[in-house]
Amino acid sequence: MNREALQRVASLATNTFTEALRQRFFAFLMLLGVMLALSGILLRTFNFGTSELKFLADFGFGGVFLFGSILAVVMTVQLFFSELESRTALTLLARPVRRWEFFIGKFFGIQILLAVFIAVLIGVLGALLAMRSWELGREALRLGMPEPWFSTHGLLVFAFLQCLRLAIVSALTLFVCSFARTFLYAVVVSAMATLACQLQGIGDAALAQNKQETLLHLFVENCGRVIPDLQVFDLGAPLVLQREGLPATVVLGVIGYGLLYIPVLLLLGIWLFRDREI
Amino acid sequence: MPRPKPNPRQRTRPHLFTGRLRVAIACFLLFLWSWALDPVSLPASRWQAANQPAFQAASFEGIIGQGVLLGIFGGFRSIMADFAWLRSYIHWGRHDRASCETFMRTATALDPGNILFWTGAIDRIGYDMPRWEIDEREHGGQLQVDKAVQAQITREHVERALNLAAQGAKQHPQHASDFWMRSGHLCRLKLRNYEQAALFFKRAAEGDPPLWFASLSYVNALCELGREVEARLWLREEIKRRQARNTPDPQDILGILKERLEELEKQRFNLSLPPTL
Repeated sequence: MNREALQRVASLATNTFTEALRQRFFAFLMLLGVMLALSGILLRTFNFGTSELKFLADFGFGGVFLFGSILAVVMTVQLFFSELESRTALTLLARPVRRWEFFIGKFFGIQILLAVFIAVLIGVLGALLAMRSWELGREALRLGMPEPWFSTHGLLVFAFLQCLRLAIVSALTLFVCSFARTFLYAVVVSAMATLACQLQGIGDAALAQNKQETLLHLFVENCGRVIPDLQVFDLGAPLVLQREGLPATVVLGVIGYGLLYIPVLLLLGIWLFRDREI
Repeated sequence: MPRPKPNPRQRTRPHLFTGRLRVAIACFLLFLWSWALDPVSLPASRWQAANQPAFQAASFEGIIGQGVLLGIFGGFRSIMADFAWLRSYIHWGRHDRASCETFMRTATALDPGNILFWTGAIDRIGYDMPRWEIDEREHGGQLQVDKAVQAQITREHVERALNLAAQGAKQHPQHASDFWMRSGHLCRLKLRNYEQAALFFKRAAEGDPPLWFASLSYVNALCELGREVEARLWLREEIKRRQARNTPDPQDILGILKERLEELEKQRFNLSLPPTL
């Protein structure tokens, strides 16, 4: 890969990011995510003994992944297909821009967008947790009770894990886009695949529990292997709210899993996109 | 001579694989890569399976579709667990056993760290539900449910509550004694099984941390079984153990245990047992 290729990828990524920023959908989802995180403050009294910080954090984590996944799927498909439908992709590819550069440029552009989304939401959540833990800490001191605690470092690690998780979702969506013919097909298949990725761990455990030596069982068991397991990224509560944190092997394993899965999804997507008729 | 019209389907260069076959091959390669990455994600999967019951298939049996999907979708667990608990109250008010239990189990699966969900579920399943079922059968036309059937119904529900208590104790090892105590009371009050109750009380009394009133419950259960001698000997040892631990005792629990021992000693003289016992 030469320097010019890198420059082309960088300019494609920047263009993709700028185009995405202009979309109202992004602003709408960002607003929804922030409002959801803030609404945790209003709903915190509605709980049956869960610690308040845990409740707030849980709410924020849910918002990051739910809206992040919607953003990763819809924006990826939207930005990919808008180039194909408006024929700007043809103009681009007629220049010395290779298909893989176009593909990778789109991927990185969307990653910047998702990183901004995660940074804003995690920032709001962090501020909310800091504010409440300070207020609760004062109250706890007055009552002689242990102070509530959360880990800022853990929150940053969690943000990075979410970046990886959403990068997998967008790489998977680009993989689907590389062979999908319509916008709707790509959105539906990618959304279903994301849901299946999230439930894969539970599905595996359920199948292992009701193990049968039939061909159908074997087939169903292995079907889930085609998609990544996103549940391994659900480490928010132990990372942020447990003083003892998580074993390093667990965190490093999850990071390694994400970093090794994304390139393969992209390579296969490029392979499929290489000979696609535009 | 006119040039032949180009066929749009004709490819400019030959391909080894085309169309759907390429997609199938890509999926197969993903499948292989997934297998190869198993060892990398294994520590995280194992950790989650051991520490987060929401990720265990057993926790989900019969509760999928009750808002669980949203709960495991990366967050919202606490709020979904709270909603499930609230909905269980609605069904509790209607004496709807199946729905009530489903929502209680949903709450414990989604937020296992909340001890209230476990203890509430154990009490409702063990104490309320057998009564509801017996009432239901009586209202259903059978004027009087046979005692043996009543006992059978109670046993079935209590067994489920005991299983839940065992799960709760596993989930909250620091409060395991509370769960054993609860189990003991269920066996004693609902099943009249003093033998089993005594075993649970003993477990609670010798647990870490031990419950002081579990010692008294164990002694009383042994007395109900007619094993006063065993009760007295155990309590004597228990007092020695507690004295050896030398932990702060602001409520004078040791004094209460000594009083009970004295009562048992008096009973021994009333029964005129040999002094060695």
